[in-house]
Amino acid sequence: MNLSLGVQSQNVIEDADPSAGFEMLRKTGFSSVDFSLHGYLTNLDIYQGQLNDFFDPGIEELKAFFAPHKAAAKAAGIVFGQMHMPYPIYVPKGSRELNSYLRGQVAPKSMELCDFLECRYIVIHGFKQARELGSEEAEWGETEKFIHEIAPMAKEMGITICIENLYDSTGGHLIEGPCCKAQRCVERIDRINDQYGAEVLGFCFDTGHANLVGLDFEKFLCQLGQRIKVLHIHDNDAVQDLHQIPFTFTRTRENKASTDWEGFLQGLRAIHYEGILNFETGPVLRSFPDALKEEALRMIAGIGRYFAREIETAG
Amino acid sequence: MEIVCSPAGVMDRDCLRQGVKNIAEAGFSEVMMDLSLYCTGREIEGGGRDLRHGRACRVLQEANPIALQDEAEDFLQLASEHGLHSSVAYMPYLLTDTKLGDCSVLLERLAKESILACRHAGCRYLVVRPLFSGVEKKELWEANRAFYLGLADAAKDAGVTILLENQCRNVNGHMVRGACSEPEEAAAWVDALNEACGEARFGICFHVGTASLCGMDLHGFVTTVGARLKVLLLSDTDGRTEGGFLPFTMAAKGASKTDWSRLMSGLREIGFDGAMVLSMGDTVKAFPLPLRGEVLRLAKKIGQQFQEQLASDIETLLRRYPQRVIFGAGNLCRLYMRVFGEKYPPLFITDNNAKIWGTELCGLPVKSPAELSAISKECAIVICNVFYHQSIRGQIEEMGLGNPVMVLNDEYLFSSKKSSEEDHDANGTKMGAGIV
Repeated sequence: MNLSLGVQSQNVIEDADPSAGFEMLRKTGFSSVDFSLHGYLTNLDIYQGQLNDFFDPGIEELKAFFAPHKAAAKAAGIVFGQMHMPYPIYVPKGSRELNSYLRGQVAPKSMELCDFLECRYIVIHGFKQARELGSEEAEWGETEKFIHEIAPMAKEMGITICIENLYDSTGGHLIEGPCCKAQRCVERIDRINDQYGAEVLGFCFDTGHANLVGLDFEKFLCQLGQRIKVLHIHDNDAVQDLHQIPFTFTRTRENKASTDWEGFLQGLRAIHYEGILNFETGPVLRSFPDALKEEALRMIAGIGRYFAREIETAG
Repeated sequence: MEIVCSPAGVMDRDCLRQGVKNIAEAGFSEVMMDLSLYCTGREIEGGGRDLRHGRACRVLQEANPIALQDEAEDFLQLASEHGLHSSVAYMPYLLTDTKLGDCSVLLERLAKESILACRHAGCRYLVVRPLFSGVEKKELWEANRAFYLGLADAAKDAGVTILLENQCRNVNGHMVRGACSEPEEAAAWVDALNEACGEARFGICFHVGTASLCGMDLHGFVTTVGARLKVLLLSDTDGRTEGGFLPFTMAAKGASKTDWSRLMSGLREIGFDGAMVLSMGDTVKAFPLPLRGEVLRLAKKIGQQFQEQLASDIETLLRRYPQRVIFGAGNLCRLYMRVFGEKYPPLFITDNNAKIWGTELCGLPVKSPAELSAISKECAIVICNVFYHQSIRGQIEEMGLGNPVMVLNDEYLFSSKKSSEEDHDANGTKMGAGIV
């Protein structure tokens, strides 16, 4: 098996003893971690304007904070395959101070930490402003402004910023949000990378979000092609963003998976995906009792191995 | 622009009279000729018989090219008696979870029979769903290209435009995006078909319920397909199942599950003037029989509301008058100033609240309504108050001014013109506005 497996650090890696978490990942079959930097400044707190002081210290102090994590990962043979920048990085109704802090402090420090942890991919969320600005194009314009703020750092550090397909909602029904239009994403990624003469921008395909808004997995993956750099693999009931284990949900009495995993595998096979099969399934580890955490991780890794075999076997 | 009633759920092929009567009495003048009434998805699935009811389908059991036309004859007769016309028809179609495999031969036959029925009924548009069953995804376009082009000559002879409709695909009960659901694809298919047959014989029917079910960006769809869009099939979604629900009936926390505001915004941008079909079969059937007529009346009013919103070209109306004043010194007035204030500045603002007379709002003086008597007759009065616009209109009429009056309605303004963060409601939803 050439494709390696990764999983979200949330609910596994604890700051008090990062070694235990990384060791558990190794034992359960993973070689990569999707580091949840967004767990240090949550979206709920950002939306409520209740910032903590995690990102206040200087970058050297922050690096020192994560030095044990870096050492523990290395000792366990785990690489930082990708990380998630805190989001949102712009709050439409937020104060000038809040938005200035997010863009001026949180974003660049996230880039520095990504580099410090020798992680080459950082996932960001595009801004959700289509309703406010009247069009998806105008919304992307704002996201692109932000990308240009951090792209020079990305180029210098050899990091690829990855935009992710997101959702929005109306009346409790989830509908497509930023970065769900494959053709436009292709054009934008290529244009920006041409501009910088480097692969500063790529794509993170999120299976759960795609499932919520009915995207055709295979078609979407094939359109993005080699621009797909990282994955957020998780499952849901197509109603809520539950971040659960693949193959968990069904809709009919036949009890076949209601998420198009076959299309997902076909797509990855077609684009010759060589990245990490990364599971964004942190919430799973909260629903299972602690005593079953390792078993849950083993099961996720087992699904990852199945995916890898299916992708690596010519279809 | 026509407001069309879909008969789905309103009538059954064996019991047409009351349904047609209800549609006519609700004020519709257009009814869709839904040929799937005479050949249902379940009947196709059962090889000519609906296995649930045991009912046989004559269209499928007889090899008669005008069987659909014959079957629809009673409907057309009744519709005509009630002053109803049919400009849009809908061809029979497969269930999304069909187990039949390749049905292209049968569907081509039904499509051609549907075209004949359209010619007989005088329908301009026929909605023909793309082939999907038994077709490999990578061969979808080629299979459909052959299918649709095979209908082009018959459609031309009949003076019918064939409309491709955005589809959902059934993944073990979960509806995801299917053929023509991405607007770029739908537009490309229609363009290629029209180019191949040398004329605009094909267009698009946008099924709003299907698109919304699949979480699509409604604004993005209509603005991408633009003038190719000929018919709009309006129905709401519960977010889980295929269904025909009356617009605005599927809601949670005070907001609709379909983003009507963004849809309207897109339709305005492209100047949509095609047919709007209200499809609400599930809603109608859920009501007791004596109330179904009332549901149809509400549907008609909803159609009119959409029609009015689309017909209201705000800028055209504002441009029509050299001067304007605003009645109402509230949030809507601020919205007006933000969106139109620079291009169409008011002379002043008036309000019934005496406490604010003599103050300024957005740099304009706030005056007593009595000052309206001094404005020129060509000056429009723009009412910026959604809740009291009727009483304000009455107040202006009582003053006997004779000035043109318009109401700024905050339902569906071109949200693209707004950029302030203050316009979000509690859910972060942008409110819009329009003039009615």
